[in-house]
Amino acid sequence: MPRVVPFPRDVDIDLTSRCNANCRYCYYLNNEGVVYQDLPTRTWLDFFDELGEAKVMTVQLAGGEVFLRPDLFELIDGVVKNRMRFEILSNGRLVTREIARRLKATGRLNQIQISLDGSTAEVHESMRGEGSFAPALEAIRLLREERLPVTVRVTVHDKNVDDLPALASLLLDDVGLPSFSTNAICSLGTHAKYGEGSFLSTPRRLQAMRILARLDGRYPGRIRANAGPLADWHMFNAMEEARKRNEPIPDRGKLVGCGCIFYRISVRSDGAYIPCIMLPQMVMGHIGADSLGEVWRNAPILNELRSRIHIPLDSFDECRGCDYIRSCTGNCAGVALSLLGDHNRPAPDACFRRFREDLDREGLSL
Amino acid sequence: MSNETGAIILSSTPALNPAMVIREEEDGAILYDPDTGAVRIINPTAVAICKLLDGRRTMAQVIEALGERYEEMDDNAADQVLALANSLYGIGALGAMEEIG
Repeated sequence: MPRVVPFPRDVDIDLTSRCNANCRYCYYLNNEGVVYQDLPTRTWLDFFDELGEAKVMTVQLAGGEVFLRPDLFELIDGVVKNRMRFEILSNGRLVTREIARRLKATGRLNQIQISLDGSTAEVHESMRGEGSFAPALEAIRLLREERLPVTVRVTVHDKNVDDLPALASLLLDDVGLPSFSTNAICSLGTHAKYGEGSFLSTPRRLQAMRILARLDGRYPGRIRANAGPLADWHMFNAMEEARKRNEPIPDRGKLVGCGCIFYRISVRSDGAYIPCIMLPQMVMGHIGADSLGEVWRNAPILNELRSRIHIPLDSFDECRGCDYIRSCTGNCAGVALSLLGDHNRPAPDACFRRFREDLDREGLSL
Repeated sequence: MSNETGAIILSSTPALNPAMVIREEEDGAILYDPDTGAVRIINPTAVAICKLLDGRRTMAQVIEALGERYEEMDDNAADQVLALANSLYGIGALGAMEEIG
């Protein structure tokens, strides 16, 4: 097992549960059992002091929409005072030039990520709500003009697959971003509760993979992905290559999909420690009442999640006999919990064998 | 590296830049500068050296203190310690020094 560092290096913090958007696939809101409430300034500042003592390096500030907190810059001062750097996730609606300049003045911003799903209002707003496109694009341009490290996250869904080339051109050619990242809708929160019809069908998923792979070739190294169609494309091709060579991919064949829990922890807007934003119901304690170090080292659920890496995939009925078992990671525990009700299983959405079987039925191939 | 080359020499009294953070982990430490985001991984011996760089000790005294802590030191330990100090100086991790060569 990788060694668990004495304290997490990075902490993901949802500073607020309030949001000024109404995204149809929101992973954050509407999770059963999650308390959506905000904490006072002083509680967060005390927590940042604790993070400083623990020599945490980076905090990611998200929500909800972080710029809805009127005390945001007071909180950022607390981050800076405690010798940390920070990242922000935002929909961009409230970003102004003054805000951009104040962020720049901190000297500690690693990156600010704005969500943008389409090159036009019609595509972007199909999932993120009316009136959301222009402010997001304006925020990206403004942050870029102020020379801040702005990046964009594109969530790939059924309504923006065909628009991906235009979006890549907008972001990389017109706006001039160094890069952007992509992922896909996950089965959490609002989407799990109310969403329908926006997951990619097998043919559309393959189409999204091919489009993004072509764009990856046109813009080398400028389209990033830790999840979603492009990440799947790279992983599935590597798995197919390994199968043809009859070789394993090192350190796979077990439930090794969760790597962050060895150096990263998350905190909900109500102060609950959770292992990861993908596991929002797994409360391990609360800031102020429970020390970071105690939770990090001794929370039973966190140590159980870390032990997943010892669970071999051939212990699952659905994996036995699979040609790809020695190159598979089992993927995300949060998705497995959401879809199967058990975090200690491989996540079915990332199963290459199942995807290939679906392609075969459709008369398609990778 | 010779004892007589580099910005920091045996008579220098360097101090670790107070803006730098030493985040100790099992196999050494991450030395990082929150103002720039610069990160350097250092081994346990380098951690011990960094903790001795207090702006009062000369580098000669730092090397002597290491000799007391580690019974078997390489013949070229002094050069290695000076090389490390000069390397840290090069990335802005050392400051407030007197008698810089």
